[in-house]
Amino acid sequence: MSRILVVDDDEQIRELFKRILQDEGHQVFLAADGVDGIKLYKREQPDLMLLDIIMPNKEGIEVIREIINEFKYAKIIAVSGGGRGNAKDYLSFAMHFGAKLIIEKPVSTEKLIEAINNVLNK
Amino acid sequence: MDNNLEDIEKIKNILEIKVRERTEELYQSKKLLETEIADRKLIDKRLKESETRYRYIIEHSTNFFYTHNIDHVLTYVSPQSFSFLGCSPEDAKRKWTDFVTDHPMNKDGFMHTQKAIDTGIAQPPFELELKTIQGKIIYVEVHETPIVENGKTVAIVGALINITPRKEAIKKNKDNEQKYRNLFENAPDGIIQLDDKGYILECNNAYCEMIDYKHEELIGKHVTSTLASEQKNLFKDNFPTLINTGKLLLEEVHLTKKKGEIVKVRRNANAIYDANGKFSGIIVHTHNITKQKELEEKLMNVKKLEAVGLMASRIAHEFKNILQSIMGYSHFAIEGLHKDEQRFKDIEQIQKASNRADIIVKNLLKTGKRFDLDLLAVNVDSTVSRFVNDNKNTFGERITVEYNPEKNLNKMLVNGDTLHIELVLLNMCFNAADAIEGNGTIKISTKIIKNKKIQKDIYEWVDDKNFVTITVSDNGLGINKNSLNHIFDPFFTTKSVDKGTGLGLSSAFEIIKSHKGFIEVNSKLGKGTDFFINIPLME
Repeated sequence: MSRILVVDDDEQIRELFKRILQDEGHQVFLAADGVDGIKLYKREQPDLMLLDIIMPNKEGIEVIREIINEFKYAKIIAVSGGGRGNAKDYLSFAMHFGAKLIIEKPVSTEKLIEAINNVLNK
Repeated sequence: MDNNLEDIEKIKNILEIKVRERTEELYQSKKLLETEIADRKLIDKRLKESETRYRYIIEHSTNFFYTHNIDHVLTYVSPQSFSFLGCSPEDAKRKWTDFVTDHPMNKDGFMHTQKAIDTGIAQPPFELELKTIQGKIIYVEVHETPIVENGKTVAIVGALINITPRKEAIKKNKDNEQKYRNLFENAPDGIIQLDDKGYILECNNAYCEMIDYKHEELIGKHVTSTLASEQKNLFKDNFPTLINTGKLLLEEVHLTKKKGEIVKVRRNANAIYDANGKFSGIIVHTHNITKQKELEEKLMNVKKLEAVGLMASRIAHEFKNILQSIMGYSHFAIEGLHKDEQRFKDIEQIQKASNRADIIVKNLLKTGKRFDLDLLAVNVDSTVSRFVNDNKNTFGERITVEYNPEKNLNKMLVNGDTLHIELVLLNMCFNAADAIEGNGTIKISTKIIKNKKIQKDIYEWVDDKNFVTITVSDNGLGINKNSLNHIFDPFFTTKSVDKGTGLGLSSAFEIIKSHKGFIEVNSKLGKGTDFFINIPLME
C-alpha cells in the first residue's frame, strides 16, 4: 500500500482516480486545486502525487516547482488534458521541473495503474 | 585783184555757213549723245538696282538656290550653303557629291533631274537626304526648273527647302503613334474602346486572350455579349452613372470565355467626348482578377483553419476530462459482469463510443497545431495496399474500393507516418462512400509527380517540388462550389448531425500538412470528387 495525493479541479476525475487507486489498495488524499494540493502534500508527505497540469488558482507547473524545491525526491505524475495552443511546452516544462512521468487524458484504467506502479517502484 | 578778193569773201562766207551748220550738227549730235548716255546710265543704274534686289532676295531667302549645267556641274550656289551644308558656296560647288548620302531616295531625285534635262519639262518636287560638312543629316525638298533655249535644255535652276524639322516632327509623331500602339497592344490589361452605344470598336491582344476570342470576333459586338448570364444587366444598370460622372469602376465583373469558362475581372470605364464635348464612347480597362480571387478564397480558408483550430483545442481540453470520466467509470461498471449479460454489452457500447469520441477529440486537438507524427521512410504503395486490403468491407457492400498503383512501386518513398496516412485515407473513403448513392466505386491511385507547381502563398509550408500523389476518386454526388471552399474547415459538414462531426477533412489536411504536403480537391456536381493527397517524395 502506498499513500497517494490526487490533485485535479474536476471532481469526477478526482473521485474516479480515488476509486481506482483505493481498489488497488492505496490510501488516497484529494485536493481540488494547486494551493490545497501543496498544503496537503506538505502535511501528509505522500509517496506519490497525481497532478493535473492545467488548473485554476495555481498551475500544475508551479505546484511541481514548489514541491520539488522542498522535497527533492518527490514522485509526481503530471496528467494533462492537452489543449491550450502550447500544451506541449507545458508538458516539457513539467518534466523539466521534476515530474517523473506524463500521462495524457483520457487514460485507460489499466494504463494508469501500470504507470503509477512504475513510478512507485523506481 | 578786187575780183579775187570778192571771190575769197564769197568762199569765206560759204565756209562760215558750212562751219556753222556743221557745228550745229555736231552740237545736236553731242546733245543726242549726252541724252543717250544719260539714258544708258539710268538703265545701268536701274539694272544694278534690280540685280541687287534679286541678289538680296536670293541671298536672304531661307531657300538654297543653285544652277547647274546639263552635265550636273554646278555653276552657281547661293550663300545658304552655309546654313544648309555648313560650308561656303565655293566648297559646295566643288564637293557637291560629298553632301549627298546613299539613301535610296536620293537615286530617285537624280532621276527626276535627269528627266527635267531630257524633256525640258519641270518635274514635281522631290526630297533628298543630305549630310552637312559636320556630318549632320538634313532633309531638303528640291524644286527644279530646266532653262530651255532653242528647244534644248541648257541648264537647271533649283531651289532647296530645308524640311528637316517637318520630317523630324512627322517621325516623332510616327514614333509616338507606334509607342501608343505598343502600349495598347502590349498592355497586360485588356483595353476596349466602345462607341456611345457600347459596341466594341477596338480591343487589344490582352483582352482577346483574356476571354479567348479572336480580335475579329469581338469587333462590332456589344460589350455585354461576353458578360456572364447573371450579370447581363450590369451595363444597362451602370450606363447612366458612367454618362453622368464620366467614369465607372466595377470591382467584380464575370465574363464568359468562348468555351463557357468564367473569368473574373475588375473594370474601369472612362467616358470619352468629341471636340464639341458630346459623349462619344467609352474606354474600358479590364484587369483579370480570377487568380487573385482564387488565392484570396484559399488563403481565407487556411486562416480560418488556424483560428478555428485554436478554439477547437480549447474545447478538446474539456472533452478529454469528460471522456476520462466516461471511460473510467464504465470500466468500474463492467467489472464483474459476464460477457453474455445484456448490461455487459450495453457498457461495452459506451466504451466503444467513448473510444471513438477519444479519436475525434484527439484529431480535433490536432487541427490547431501540427500533428505529432512518427515520421519514417514509408513506401506509400505498401501503406495504400494494406489500407485497401484491410478496408474492403469497411464501407458496406455497395461500395467497392479499387487501387491502381504507380508503376515504380519501390520508388514511392516518403517521410511519413503510416497510421496517420491511413487515417487520412479512411476519412476520404468515408466521405466518398457517403457521396455515392447506391452502388459505386472508390478509386484510389498513386503516382509520382515531379516538378509540381506549388502556390507558395497558400501552401507556404511546402518546400518540395516532387510528390507522391494519392488520388481518391468517387463517382458520387460531387461537392458544390460553395461547400468546396469549406471542406477543410473544422466542423464543416454537409451531413446530418448524427452522421458527421465535420472534423475529418480538416484533420486530414492538418495531417498531410505535418508531412509538409497538401491536399487538393476537384469536384463536379453530379460527376464526383477527386482528392489529391500530395506528400513530398523522399529523394
